[in-house]
Amino acid sequence: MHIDARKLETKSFIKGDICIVGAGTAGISMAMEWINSGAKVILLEGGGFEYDDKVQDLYAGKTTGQRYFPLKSARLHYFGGTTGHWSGFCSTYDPIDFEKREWMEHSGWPISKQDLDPFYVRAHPYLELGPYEYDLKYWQQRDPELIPVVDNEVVWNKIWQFSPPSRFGKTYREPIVKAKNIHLYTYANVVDIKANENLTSIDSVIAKNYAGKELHVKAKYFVLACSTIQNARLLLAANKQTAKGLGNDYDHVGRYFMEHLEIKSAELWLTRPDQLKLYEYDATRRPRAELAISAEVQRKHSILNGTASLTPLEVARRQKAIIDMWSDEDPRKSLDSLQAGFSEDEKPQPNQKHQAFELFTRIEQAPNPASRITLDEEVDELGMPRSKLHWVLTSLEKRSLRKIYELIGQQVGRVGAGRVKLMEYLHDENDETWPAFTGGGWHHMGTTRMSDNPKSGVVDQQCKIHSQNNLYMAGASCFATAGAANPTLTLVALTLRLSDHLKSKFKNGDV
Amino acid sequence: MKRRKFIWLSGTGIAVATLPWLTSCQSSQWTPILSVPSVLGQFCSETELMAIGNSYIERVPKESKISAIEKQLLKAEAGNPFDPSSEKSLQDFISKMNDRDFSTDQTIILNGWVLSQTEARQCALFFLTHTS
Repeated sequence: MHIDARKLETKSFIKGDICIVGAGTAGISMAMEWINSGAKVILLEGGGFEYDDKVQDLYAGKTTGQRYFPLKSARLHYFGGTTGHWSGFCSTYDPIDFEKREWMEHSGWPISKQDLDPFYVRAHPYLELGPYEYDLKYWQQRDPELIPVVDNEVVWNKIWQFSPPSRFGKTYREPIVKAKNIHLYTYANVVDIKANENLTSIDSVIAKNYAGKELHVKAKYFVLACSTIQNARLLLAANKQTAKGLGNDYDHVGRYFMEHLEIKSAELWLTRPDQLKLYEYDATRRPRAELAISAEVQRKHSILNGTASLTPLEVARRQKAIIDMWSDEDPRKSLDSLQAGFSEDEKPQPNQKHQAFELFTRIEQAPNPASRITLDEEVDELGMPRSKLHWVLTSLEKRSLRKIYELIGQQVGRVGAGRVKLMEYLHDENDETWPAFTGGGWHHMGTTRMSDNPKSGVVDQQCKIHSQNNLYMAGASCFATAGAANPTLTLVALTLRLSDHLKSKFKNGDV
Repeated sequence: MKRRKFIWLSGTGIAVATLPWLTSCQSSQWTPILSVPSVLGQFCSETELMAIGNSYIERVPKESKISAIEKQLLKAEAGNPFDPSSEKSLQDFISKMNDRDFSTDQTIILNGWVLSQTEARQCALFFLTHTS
């Protein structure tokens, strides 16, 4: 059922079994899992069903360090969250993404890819993806024209699938609103979290809205699912009972903010012009591949995991950098600018062969405690301190990027396909600076990182805050490393895993 | 940027048993063939090839003479004997050297291009023959 919190009494008290804060990708995925579960689920969404600029403004904040998108337009604040404008890129994380890598400080998850595999399968339908198949051979059997430019023990072809893209706000509105046990409150912005006296469990959360209404929600379990930046902001702002904020005994909350570096990096020149259909991003949104470096070779060279997508060079050269196109505080205007930059006449013609392609990187950034979300002194209109992002990269990202293209260049030469040319900012191996067109993928990860030990992270392997008995985090804020792939599929899988965990606790009556 | 596809120069009478030129600074009868990297030549303008060659010499100053580079380029190896009997055999020889370089990661990044050691030397030769 749906309740508009603006129409409630000035101060309302509600009670449920589980309170999910945030109705975006993670929050809605979790709520869907609990339909007809017998539990009373309170789902709190800060916005309504449509975009509202006043609500969106609650996401505004400052950025320092590496140039970044305006925080206000880097996410969407309404039912469905950022799926309202995402582009639908999905792939699994690789086993190496979860491993402790000696050359990458703070790497290693307390879970493995294997632990997530069954949940990846279950995440697929939520994102309206095809079969859970990410093996190149599977797709080649269906289309023999999907021929890799190189595929060997050094460079492999990582498959991406494309969601339509699912707009969670539209796709899941009806089942959630119709579910008798799901109590969706829109315009319920959580601004504070109240713990018990010992600070060992959460008693309630307090939500507010522009109508001046206040909502107090009690539950057995609380799940914060309101995005990587907002999850950290909420914990840090819950500082009335403990100055550092909740779950922040070891000063990890907000730290290790990660993004995928998304940046033009090199050119691939072919000896024989080719369509390279395997790598095409076309209107049918069929699966495509990106060039990736094998785990063994990543280990050998002590580099980060990243992939290269291919775009015909004459098309890519006309496109402006994404960070320049997405510069408006208003996400609608930034989206218009981005779409204009990728307009139809800029796209390659079907079946056309090309001699040269741009190689565009998506690469994980190393977990870095200095890259972080903190609270600003400025507060938003509901009285909550705004977020501040200080995005910081390390020399490992630059070195890895350069090595990836050296490796791809070597393998392309080895198979006689052509040559690779690195862009100028990668020429000097001692240059650690980044060009102005360096951008991210709006992939916010890592501010409540998962760890075995409270001294090295915020949540345990079940996504529970180490120091709290009933407070869980859902979404990419739990990621310990960023991986090479877009995070949505993995964050849904991780959320479904959390959901199962909570179901087993609920079934056993654990409170 | 202007790019051009290089056409192999037609060699004539490449059949010499001894290689006295290897110790000199002058170009040899093989230089026109050796100084054009066949694959890279498809993608780069002459100016760009010159710049790459110049970068190689700056990086490896001991190979700043034509003779020194040709000596390196024509080093025969097991399985790939130097056979100067024809233009074709010379091209095949260089082609195999390129393949060997890429297979054994003997590559070098010059002006952004990931090149085999052999074709980097070819660019250097191209630079030297056009500036000397």
